[in-house]
Amino acid sequence: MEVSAQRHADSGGLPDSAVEDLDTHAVVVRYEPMVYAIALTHTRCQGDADDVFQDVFLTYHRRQPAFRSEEHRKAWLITTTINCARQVAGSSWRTRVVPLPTGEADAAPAQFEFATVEQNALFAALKALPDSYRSVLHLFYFEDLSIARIAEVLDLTVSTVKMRLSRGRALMRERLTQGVFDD
Amino acid sequence: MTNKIFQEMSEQMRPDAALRQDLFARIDAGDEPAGARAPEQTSRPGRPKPRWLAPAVAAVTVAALIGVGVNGGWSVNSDGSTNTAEHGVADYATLYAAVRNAPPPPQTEMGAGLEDTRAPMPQTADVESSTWTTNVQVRSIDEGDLVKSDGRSIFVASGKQVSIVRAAGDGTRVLARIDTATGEAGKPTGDDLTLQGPVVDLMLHGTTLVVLVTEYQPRTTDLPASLPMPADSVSLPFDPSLTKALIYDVSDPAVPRYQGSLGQSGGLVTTRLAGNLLYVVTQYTVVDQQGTKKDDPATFVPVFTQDHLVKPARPDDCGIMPAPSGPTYAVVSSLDLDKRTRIDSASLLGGASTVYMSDTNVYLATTDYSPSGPVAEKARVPKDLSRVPVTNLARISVNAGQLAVAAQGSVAGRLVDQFALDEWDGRLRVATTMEGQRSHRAWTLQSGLWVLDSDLSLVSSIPSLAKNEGVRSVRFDGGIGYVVTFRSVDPLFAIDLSDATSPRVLSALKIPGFSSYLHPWADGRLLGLGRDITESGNDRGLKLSMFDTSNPAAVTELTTLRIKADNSEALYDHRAVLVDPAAGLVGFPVSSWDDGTVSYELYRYEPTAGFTQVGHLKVPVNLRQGLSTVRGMTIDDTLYVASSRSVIVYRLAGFVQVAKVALDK
Repeated sequence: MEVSAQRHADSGGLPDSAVEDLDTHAVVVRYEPMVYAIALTHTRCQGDADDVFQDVFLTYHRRQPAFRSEEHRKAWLITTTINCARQVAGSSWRTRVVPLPTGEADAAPAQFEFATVEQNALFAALKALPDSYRSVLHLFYFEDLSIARIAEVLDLTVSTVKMRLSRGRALMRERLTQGVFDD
Repeated sequence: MTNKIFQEMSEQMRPDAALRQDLFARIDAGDEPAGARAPEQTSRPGRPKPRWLAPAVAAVTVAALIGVGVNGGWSVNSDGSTNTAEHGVADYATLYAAVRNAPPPPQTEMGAGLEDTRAPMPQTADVESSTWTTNVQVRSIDEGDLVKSDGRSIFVASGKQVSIVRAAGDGTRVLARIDTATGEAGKPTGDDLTLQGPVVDLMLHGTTLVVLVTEYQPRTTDLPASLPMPADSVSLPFDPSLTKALIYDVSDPAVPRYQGSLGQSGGLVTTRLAGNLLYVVTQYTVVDQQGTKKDDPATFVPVFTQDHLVKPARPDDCGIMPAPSGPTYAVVSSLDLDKRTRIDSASLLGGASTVYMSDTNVYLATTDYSPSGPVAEKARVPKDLSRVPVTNLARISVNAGQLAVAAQGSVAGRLVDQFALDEWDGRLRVATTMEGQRSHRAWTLQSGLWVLDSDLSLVSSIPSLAKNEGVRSVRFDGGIGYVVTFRSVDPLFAIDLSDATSPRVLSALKIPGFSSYLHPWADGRLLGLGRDITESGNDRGLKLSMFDTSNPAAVTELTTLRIKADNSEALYDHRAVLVDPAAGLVGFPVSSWDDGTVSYELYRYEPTAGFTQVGHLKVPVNLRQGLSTVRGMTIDDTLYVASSRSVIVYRLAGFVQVAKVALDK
């Protein structure tokens, strides 16, 4: 898949933007889609993702960390969400209760569902990847981060990011018969 | 087109509006995130906080039992058999109705059965011997695992194969490989669409190696009515239909001989070995509930196989739990490994996710996330919490391989793992976490301890052992129970259970982080392995702790070692922990979240020096797997570290690598 240069240009030598004075509510509103999406792809069920979503912003609110720039805040949220998801996923290895917002009786925790079979297949394939590949692919495809930015956020070298991107794509290609990830 | 799909998915990945509202409410209320709450103002360490609990009802019950002349044991009839609440089900019609009327089966993840088939938490038992054995829960009862050894050969499961390795220091080499995908062993019992999956468990008994594999069938009921795409691009879930125990004679480990198979419906939960009897527990869901036929029992009861002979379970070998949460059976069978036959079976409609086996009973536990009012009340769910799950328990008595459902009961909350159950002096001790909603929509949890009698009725309890904390690990040791609960600070409770009618908390030691695994070391010492989490919620890695439990009323932490590592299989699977108190060694694998690499770490504990690292080594693992299975074994002053890809051999003196054997091609 060819990705045009413009899409992933958020760190093409431009200076980082100054950090805005946002209260927690505003931060939630701005970054909610990003945090929730990472939570969804990095946890085993929707209930866990819901927990991670809340935990990340509550932690943010409690710590009130100081940021050098808006990109710094975004990076903090990304790594905190990934770490939180890993801890939650670890504890979900065994049975884990997921409080259901509705009154339904489920014997197993509910999975997030997309509108089409194709999207669900992609989601399942992404979730089946090993942690390290999944994070890179998620940030690249869902957050449009450049390879350089991904390397910065995840504290990896650019070559490691490139390797995981290409190996991750190969693994995804194997799982899906349709050529979504074919170059 | 390809970029568009990510955009479309992004737009859908949004939290519920109610979830966001709840978050804002919690932010405004100054709520803490789950992993970082301030420590509770509970008892200070060293000061025992006795809680006497002797409800009038329990006291009367105990008195009545004693009056009948039962010395705290199971009620036993004059002919030596135990009382059974159910002598099986009357006929197939009853079972047919129960299966049809059960709530529909839950949705499983796509292909979940084929990728990660490892059973949840079996229990392992220590055998008193100088050779390495699987780290088990109950001494005399062995537990299945993916790596087994008799001190001379190491058997490692790897995909559909089992590698047999001669453990001989620098002469370590692969003797033979069993391929379960070929030959008689590889012929599925089911129809053409049946697939046989990888090896899920191994058990070794003398010169008999039992290899467990699971057959899967596609859930054809899930096929959509119309197929807009080519058929081979539709992913169907596969359900475990049959688990087979493949029996091999390994008296000459270089030439393993297949001897036959004994199978039972469902996916493997766990295995246990007591003497020459193998107990196999599976969980079988009747996926096609609507397709069951009244006159064909095989469509609604589990079946048992001997090689290719298939027979449905008999009604009198079946039972029905009071309110099954789905059409799922827990199937227990006893196999005589010397005669290679099945002795007995017990199938219980209601399922089982946790199994604990003592010398005389198999306990099955399953979680009911929506218990009915009467069930919740009987299970003593706290009155101020709603939506608390309940654990349904069944006791299956074991007598020379004869199985019978002897009792059923429930307790409030869920079990953290198999170690939350323990039978001692005729009573069952249970530690649970009760998670529920308080009246003003806030979720909370508390830990509780319960003591049940042979009828699985409540004798006594400490229903709120720790408020706002869940159980992280449990280890019962005769008359004392150790329970670790956690919010951000880890109280380690020592509970006196010597008097079943009045358990009392002897001490509560509070330390940051939590232990996921507890192991009684020698001489009043308790080893803990878990996460190092600061009071503000920072996860700093792992830690090893040694507690002084010589005076349970004043448990102290002798020493602790912080380990800079992200994660460990040992936090989730007790079999991954190597504990050798005689040699003072503790070993376990650690993994990195960044790149998934695994290394095996070995530590020594000495009273004066505390924990020191003996060494560590990198373990090649299959990155495509989730958390890899890695086992370390000490045999004759040598450490063998086995994974599905290799066996690496280190001489303990000087910690020098002397051999490395590749198991994958």
